[in-house]
Amino acid sequence: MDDFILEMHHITKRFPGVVALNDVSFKVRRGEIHALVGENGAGKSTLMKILNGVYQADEGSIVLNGEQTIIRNTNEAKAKGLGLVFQEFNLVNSLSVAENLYINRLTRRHGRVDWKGIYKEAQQFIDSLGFNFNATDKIEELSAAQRQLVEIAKVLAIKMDLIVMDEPTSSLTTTETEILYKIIKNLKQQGVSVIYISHKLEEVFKLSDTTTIIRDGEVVDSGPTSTFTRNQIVEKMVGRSIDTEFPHKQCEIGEVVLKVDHITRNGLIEDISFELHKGEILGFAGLIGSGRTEVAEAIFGAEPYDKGVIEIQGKKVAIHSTHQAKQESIGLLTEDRKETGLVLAYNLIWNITITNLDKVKNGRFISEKKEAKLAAELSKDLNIKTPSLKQYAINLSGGNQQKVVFAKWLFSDVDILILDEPTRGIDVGAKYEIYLLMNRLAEQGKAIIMISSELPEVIGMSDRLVVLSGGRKMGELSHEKATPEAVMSLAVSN
Amino acid sequence: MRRQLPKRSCRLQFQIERGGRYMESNVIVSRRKKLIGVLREWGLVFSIIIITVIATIIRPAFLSGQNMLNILRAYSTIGIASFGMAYAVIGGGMDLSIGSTISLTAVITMLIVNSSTVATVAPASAALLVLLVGILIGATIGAINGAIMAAVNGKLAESFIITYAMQIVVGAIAQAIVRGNFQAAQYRSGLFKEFGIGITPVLFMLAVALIMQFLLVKTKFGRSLYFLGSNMSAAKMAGLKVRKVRFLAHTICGMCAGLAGVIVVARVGSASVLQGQNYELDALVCVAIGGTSLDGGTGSIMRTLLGVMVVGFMMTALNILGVQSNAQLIVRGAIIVSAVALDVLNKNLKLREVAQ
Amino acid sequence: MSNKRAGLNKFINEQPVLLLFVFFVLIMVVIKPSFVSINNVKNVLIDVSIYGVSALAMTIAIITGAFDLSLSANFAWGQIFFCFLLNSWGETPGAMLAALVVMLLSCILVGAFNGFVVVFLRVHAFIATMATGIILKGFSLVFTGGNMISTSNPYIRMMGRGTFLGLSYLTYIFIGFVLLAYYVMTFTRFGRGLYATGGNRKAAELSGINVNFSRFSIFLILGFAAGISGAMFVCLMRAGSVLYGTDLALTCVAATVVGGTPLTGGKGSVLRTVIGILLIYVLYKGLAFLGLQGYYNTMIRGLVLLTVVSLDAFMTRKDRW
Repeated sequence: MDDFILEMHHITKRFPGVVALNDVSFKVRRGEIHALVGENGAGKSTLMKILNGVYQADEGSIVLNGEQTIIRNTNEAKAKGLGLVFQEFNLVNSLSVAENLYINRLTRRHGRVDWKGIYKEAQQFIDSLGFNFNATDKIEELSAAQRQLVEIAKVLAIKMDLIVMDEPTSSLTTTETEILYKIIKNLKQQGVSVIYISHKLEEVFKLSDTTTIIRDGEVVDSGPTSTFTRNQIVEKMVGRSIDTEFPHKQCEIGEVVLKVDHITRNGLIEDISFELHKGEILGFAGLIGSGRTEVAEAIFGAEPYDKGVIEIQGKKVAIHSTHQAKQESIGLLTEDRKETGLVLAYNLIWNITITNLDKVKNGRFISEKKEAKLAAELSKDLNIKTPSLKQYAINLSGGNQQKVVFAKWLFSDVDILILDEPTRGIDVGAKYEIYLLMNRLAEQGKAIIMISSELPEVIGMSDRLVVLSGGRKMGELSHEKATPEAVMSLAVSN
Repeated sequence: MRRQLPKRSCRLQFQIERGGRYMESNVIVSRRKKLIGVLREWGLVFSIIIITVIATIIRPAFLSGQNMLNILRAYSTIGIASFGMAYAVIGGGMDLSIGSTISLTAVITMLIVNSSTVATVAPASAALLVLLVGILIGATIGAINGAIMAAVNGKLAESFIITYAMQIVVGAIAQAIVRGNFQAAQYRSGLFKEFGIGITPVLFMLAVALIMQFLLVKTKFGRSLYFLGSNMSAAKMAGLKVRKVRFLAHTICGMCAGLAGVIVVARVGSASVLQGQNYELDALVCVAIGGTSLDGGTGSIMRTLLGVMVVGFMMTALNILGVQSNAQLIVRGAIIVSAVALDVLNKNLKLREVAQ
Repeated sequence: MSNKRAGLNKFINEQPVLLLFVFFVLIMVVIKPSFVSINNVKNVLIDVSIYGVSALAMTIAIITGAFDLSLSANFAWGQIFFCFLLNSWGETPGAMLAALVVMLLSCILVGAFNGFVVVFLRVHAFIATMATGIILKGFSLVFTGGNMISTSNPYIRMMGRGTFLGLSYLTYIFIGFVLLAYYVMTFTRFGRGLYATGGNRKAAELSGINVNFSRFSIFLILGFAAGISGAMFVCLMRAGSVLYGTDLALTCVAATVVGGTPLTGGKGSVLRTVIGILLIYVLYKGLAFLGLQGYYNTMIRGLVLLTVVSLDAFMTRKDRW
């Protein structure tokens, strides 16, 4: 009889307009490493948030250690022995590592906080894990990778029965990843179960005992990891053959429209140089924190750069503001469309026309009629699914929201488009539409830089690939030479 | 199995913020709750009507045309200041220096009007000169506010403190000029005096309102101002000239205050350093009652105008009821709290109407 | 570069405001060496003691990510109500204590109202406290009819005038609060929770810290501090009026910023604020000493505040474009 530490039975969770989880059943044995794989939006995060008390399931039950329980919030989850390592950092940057580890449970001696003891214990703990920072360091002084390690340490510091790790290696370098693997294997020996969520299938095969695949809110398959092949897992994740995953682009690659020479932003990126051609999709690959967004920000004028030269159509320009970048025909679709790509409180028309209000003027003043008409044309062209353009941006699905952001930049007729994680948080069908759109734009003569952390995507869609690591350009690969191994080895090199 | 909807209700889906986190929940709401949204839209008009009715019952003369005109004229300067404040608020900030700007402008206006050299020039030119100077002074102060705000990329918090500090500095400058004296009006009759008589102040207010509303809705600047107030990062990432827009918004706000200062002198006939006291407060109240969210990104001048009318009628009604000016201060504060609290409550229930 | 040099450079980079201030003070001392007199030091210390208590509370609030613009009005109300109660309840020490307690309770009540509006109605602290301040000011005006209230209670006089080892009683009270504040902020879970709340509210909440309770208590603390400052003021001036202390809130903010605590919250120290408020009142004293009176004084105070806050906002701005 298997000893299950966790059983989730027939979990269903609905959100307005979508069923996030449909009759999902999921079991984890004591002391096993259980991988949970699936695409963005498949439901893995939702399932884990239910486990952690952030959401409540509409139907179904949770059984922990043989007892049925209800988990109402994160604290209850912790109290029952469930720990979750988030993808986003939940650290207080102004405080020290030790204080973050001991947050809300600072040890006291004689009634007062025992700082000496806390720092000592914390340092011992950090050293025992093999991490390379001090308990006294302030979080704001640490790199993204180190911060991720602190998050992991937070969860390990308390005795848990089950730990969930959501993309824990997304910010880590190879050395740190190896340390993490050791830690996880240690946990298994101690009888602690680990749910491991990751896109990196190599990790799944390396670490896990069991794998569960989720797609579109349902469990597609579940079983010992050894019984799956890589292709099988990918096919089950995606639901169709992977060959048709990326549409083929047909167009000529023209002359150089953008030339970047030795761009440096102190402490962030160093000596980045590359060229971008008309009709080309240039991929930017690399781990999170490798500096790709920083390069985009520099070119788009969102952040200043310390050294380097930017040439547009052969003309040297010094870009000091986003407005100027727009004038130079550069547009940036930001990583976080909800925060910086759209104004969620406004309707679609406003969101689309904001980049080129001159176009909606009748004479010297804005014509709302003209505005609506032009926005509608663009919306139809991009196939944005919405009952009305007066709909607020917040009400659209992720895929449609991203289309609106595209529409926004197409409205200003920019020639150079920088896309930062354009398909993040979008379902499979919409992703494909975005790929088609990218190809169409390239075929129309635009030049595209595509920043993406999804290897298959960035390899499949680009004509050429630039790989960054630690703020430096590690290499450039042509489409033929860009294999996942080649890209990865450049991306993790130091 | 879909549950049957009870009668007289509609299915609204909410995204409710609870303790800082968003939780989705499906709620069946009675149609009455949906009325809250409607109330916010037409509540202003309702309020004006209700207040008018009550006041007329107490004192029938309230409803006379003369009285209405008096109220509008008395509140015309507050109105103009409110429009300027509205620009600042829509842009996501605030301007607490309006009061001192009005004082300073009033004081300087009085000096110009009373000076012997100016008296010899044709009265019409003197009047225009004074208007221009007033607007210019206001523009300068607003520009300084705007420049600092643009340099520090400030939002609500920064605008509070910085404009408050400006209020102190400008107030002191006004005092220094006047050396604490109370100046009485001595101007000859002429165009300047006309500014403050009859329907002229109201015309000024309406003209300013129309111009500013037009700018908001029909120009790139206005649209950019909305975006700036709603989400500064998104505005920047859309290629908007965020700093320039913020600078202009504060400058225009200052200009409004300057204009109000000139008209106040014309209307009241004297100027003291206390002239502008509490103006920023009143302006804020009018803006808040007008339904403009103090978070920025929404609102309009027309609504602020309605807000001015509500406040004007309400304060006058309170006067009739014999409420002291000190107690009226309490009322103003209470209005701000309630208006903002309602606004926040409204925001937290982000209505998402799903096509049924 | 040795560690010491690096540390010094970092200090200079991070605290230009503080250094600017020290610079001003030094200039003043150079211009008029007679500035440094026992009398001046005594006076400055008394000012610092009275207003410093409020400044401590304001710093704690800023660290937590909250703000209180009603501090000035609450301070004035505290003075007024205290004098009123003293006049009503006689001149025994017991009466004085009772008056103090009741007045403090009323000030805390104001703080509770602030807390309610900010934490539970979720209104921005700035606007909410500004509105409360206005309401309170109106109420005070109605209560006093615009007049000053004075008291002749001899015990009050003693508290204000009395000294021990050369330092006024008020200074000892202030030092006591400084130590208390430091202890709470550094050595209690509650205090550390305030730092966390101010640094990253979401993270604090997810870690189990009761963010609402923390933020609500801040306003209670602020109310209490305003009351204490008001009582101390009455001890010194033996009168209370709406006109006294109108720029208290902003002076406390300035003291916080000068001391090196950023307005963004999550870090800083009450000890630094002590330095900040010392410097500010030395500056104010210096201005008066140099012969600047009335409006020039106010103008420079305003400019000081403007510069200090602008500089802080500039340094902590997130978009460095």
